[in-house]
Amino acid sequence: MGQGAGVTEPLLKVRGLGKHFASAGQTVNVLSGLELTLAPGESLALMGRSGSGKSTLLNILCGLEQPDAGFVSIAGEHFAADSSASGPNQQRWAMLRRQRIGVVFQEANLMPALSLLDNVRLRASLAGQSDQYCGDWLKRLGIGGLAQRYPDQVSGGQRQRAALAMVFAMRPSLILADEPTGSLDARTALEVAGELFYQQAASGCALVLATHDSALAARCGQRLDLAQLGA
Amino acid sequence: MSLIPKSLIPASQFSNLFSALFSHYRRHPLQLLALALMIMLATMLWAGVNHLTTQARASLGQSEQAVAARSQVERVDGQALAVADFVTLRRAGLCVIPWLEVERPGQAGRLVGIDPLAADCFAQTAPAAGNNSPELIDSPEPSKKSEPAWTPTLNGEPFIDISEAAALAQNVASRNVRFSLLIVPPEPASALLADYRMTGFSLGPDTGELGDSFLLNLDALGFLVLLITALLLRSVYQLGMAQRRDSFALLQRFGVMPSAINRVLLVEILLLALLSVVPGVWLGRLLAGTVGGGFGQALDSLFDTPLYAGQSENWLTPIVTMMAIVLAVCLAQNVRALLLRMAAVWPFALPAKLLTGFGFGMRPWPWLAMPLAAAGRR
Repeated sequence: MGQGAGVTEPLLKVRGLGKHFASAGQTVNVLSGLELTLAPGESLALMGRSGSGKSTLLNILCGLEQPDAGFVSIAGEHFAADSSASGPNQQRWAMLRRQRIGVVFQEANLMPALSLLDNVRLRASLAGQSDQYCGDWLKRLGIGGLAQRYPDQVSGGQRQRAALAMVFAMRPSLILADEPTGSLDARTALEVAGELFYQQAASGCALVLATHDSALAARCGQRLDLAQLGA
Repeated sequence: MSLIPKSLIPASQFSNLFSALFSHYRRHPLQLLALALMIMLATMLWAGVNHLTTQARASLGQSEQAVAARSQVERVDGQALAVADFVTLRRAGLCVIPWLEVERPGQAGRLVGIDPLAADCFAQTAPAAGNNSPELIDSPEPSKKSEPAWTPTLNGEPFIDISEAAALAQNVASRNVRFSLLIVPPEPASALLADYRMTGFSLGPDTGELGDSFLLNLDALGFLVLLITALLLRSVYQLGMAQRRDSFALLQRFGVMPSAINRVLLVEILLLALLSVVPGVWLGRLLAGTVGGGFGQALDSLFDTPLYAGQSENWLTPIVTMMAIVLAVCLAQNVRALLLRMAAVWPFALPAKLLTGFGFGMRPWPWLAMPLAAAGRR
């Protein structure tokens, strides 16, 4: 379980978080009594076997799933389990995802009918950021020459770099990354992860990274093994 | 009401979102073309049939008026008319013409005996448009009233001189003989003698039911056209939606509310419908004009007078109707979701459940299409 940096106001605070699913007539507790705190600039690795609840936790942290117990606080916005599905809370979650939370998944992070540059511009625009530097983000991530290509015209690694460019162009407070290198070969995965940690450190945002890769997890300041937690 | 939800997404971002969603069609232009053509085709066929129906309804209305404009005299006491009645009425200065229908002996059909001399006053007094004259005769233009009375000549069967008809009537059963006195309605109407009254005179069987049946067929054809093209349109649209589903999910992950996506889709289909429906209605009118010419000729032959109503100038009704149908067909899922939300609110519960098929998974759009199609009939 991650601990806050002390003097810094926590960006992310989770208390007593619980989530269960019904399966074959039985209730399966995926998350139970989870607590964590994360300050700006910190990084947390979520580890655990498949089905341990890593993706579920990330989905809860960005409001795409509702918890059954506990509460989540992100950037001063508080969401209790019993009210998080309501309309106004859905709007607050949407606002957070649009402006404060950057999400990178293993695949399908780009609009297929938009060029890489237009994808980055769209993300920046939705976050209320200028699209002036979108091309620069692609250049920094080494895919400036592919700006006008469509996602199906570039490799998986290049798509993930573009996804990272989208996230950094929106200048988020928190990045949630779910196995962002999971579908890449070892070398490309290393490069993409390097870019992720470098830009995260440079921008000072917090990072929650779900991964199977212990080497990748070791690069995070904190680690949380959901399997060991017994969730 | 603004289509841009202020609290959900700023107006400045709406165009970006619209552009992002519309990018699907930039990469799949044939899909957009198919959709536009489908809407245009549906509009053309339905508007064409709708125009024809409207013209047919107006034309048949005119023909009924034309037929009903003929008047005959009846005795108030219910007795059968006789030659003496003709004499009485003519002596009273009324324009009447004897009309003797006789079944052809041994043949199908009937002969009509008239008095050509008595028809003279019909030719001189009949209104040009009303065509109250029997028009059985090779006659000069009825409007040339200043010319001397013409000498009428019958031009053969089924119209014959009344004396010949009377001779034939001697040899057939009385049930096969019908004697009427046609009259040009006097002005004032009170000039008609007290023992008589005027009623409508029809040359043949009542065409009312036939006309209604014809119009019903046209309406059914219009509805079928609408239904089939709507199904095709929905298939093409749903294909595109299935391909865009991942993009919608991604946008939600980016913090765009589903309602904002639905609004963008609404604007998108509204624009597409508007751009396709207007030329579709124009093509439909063109189609109706082409086909309607033959229909007009048929009517002219049937009633022996120009009755074709021609095209109406109403563009708004077909445009609005087709726009509403395209929206209902393409956004049925959204409409259903909206109705289900409304079903939770008491005043809307029952109608909302009715429109959503009582929650049994029935599609709502055919329910919506029917009243819209009916509205389109004016």
